[in-house]
Amino acid sequence: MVGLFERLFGKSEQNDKSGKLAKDRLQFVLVQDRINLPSEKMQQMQKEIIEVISKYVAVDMEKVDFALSNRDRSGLLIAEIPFKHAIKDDDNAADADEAEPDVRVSVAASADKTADEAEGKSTPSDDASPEDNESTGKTTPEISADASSTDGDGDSSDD
Amino acid sequence: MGAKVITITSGKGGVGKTTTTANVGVALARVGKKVVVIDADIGLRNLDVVMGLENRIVYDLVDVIEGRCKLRQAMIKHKQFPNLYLIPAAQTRDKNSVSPTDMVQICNDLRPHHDFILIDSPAGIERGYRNAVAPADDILIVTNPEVSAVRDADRIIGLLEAEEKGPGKLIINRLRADMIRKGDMLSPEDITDILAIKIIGIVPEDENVVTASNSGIPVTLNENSRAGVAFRNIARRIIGENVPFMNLEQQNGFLRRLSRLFGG
Repeated sequence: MVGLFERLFGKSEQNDKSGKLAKDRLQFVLVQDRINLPSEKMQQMQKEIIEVISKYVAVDMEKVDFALSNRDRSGLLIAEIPFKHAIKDDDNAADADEAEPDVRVSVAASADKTADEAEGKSTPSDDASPEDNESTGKTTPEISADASSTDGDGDSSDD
Repeated sequence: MGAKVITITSGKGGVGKTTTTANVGVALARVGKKVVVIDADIGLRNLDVVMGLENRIVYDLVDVIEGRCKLRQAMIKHKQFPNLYLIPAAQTRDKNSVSPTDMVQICNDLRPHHDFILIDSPAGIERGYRNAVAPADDILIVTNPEVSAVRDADRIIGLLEAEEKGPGKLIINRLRADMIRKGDMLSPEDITDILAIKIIGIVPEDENVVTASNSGIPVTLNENSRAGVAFRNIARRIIGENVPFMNLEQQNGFLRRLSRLFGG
């Protein structure tokens, strides 16, 4: 009977309806509005993040991806930074051709107005609202350690 | 101490700020509260006509600020409710005739003698908006279930947070249950998902609002109007009553019966 009700009023076809489109478009535009960071600054920030990470691991630059999202009323920067292997002190980029499994660093940073509040939100909380559907599960900075390199323990660099 | 100052704002124009101010003001007065409504839209005065008081105006807000009359002289008593007053905006001046400090001063003078002071904010985020928000204890943000109105509401919420005035409470005006049911309108859930603030009112689209403003009798005095009921419910929530939100299905008796039949 519920099925009939839905068929009568089209409830089951809401994905291609304009209401859903309106919500998606709003969520996209509000990410930009809320963060209010000029695009050149955003580029600069991404470049510096890559520079820092590149000191420790060989970043696969082709596959780097930054995305903006929302959590409650805060912005959320989601970075996907795949890398090949850790960098040893005497390493250089030429060594990057060893066939290593794809290793990824996922960083999710809350772009709230106050930095201390952002720190307080670094773990997933139970009161997260339904809108963070795209970002759930990427909330903590994490490094997948299971794919650590076989050619030396780069995590203990001594500089 | 004294009255609570509530500012009604929106960012976007035309979403129903003035209608909301008039109707919530009347609804509060109806249950015996002492209420002053202030039109802060200097140069685009309108609260007076929505409340049917346009032909009683002698002095206005700017006359008070510039010392041409006493505050009391600019307060127009409502025809039906002697505990409801309007302070009209100046029509021939601009928003720079008023400062945020002026608004705080006027509200402080009114507070001891009333229960609620409602301020109808102009659209925008400039001087007029800042004037309206300056004395506010609480803020009602009016929006419509449309992309542009929700975006502007988000901007207002952001500004209020930055000024530590926020977050405010949301009123969704001109909702159409039939369009939501078809998936062709943002639902209240969609909007609160996006804006992440508390909702204090959902007002259905209702042609009685137009006829009410034609006659200058706020729609909340029309017992048969669904929008009128919604505004009364907002007033009851403001005074602390726990009022459940209207069932959207009530908009259409046939649909309501049908959905009940199908266990919807």
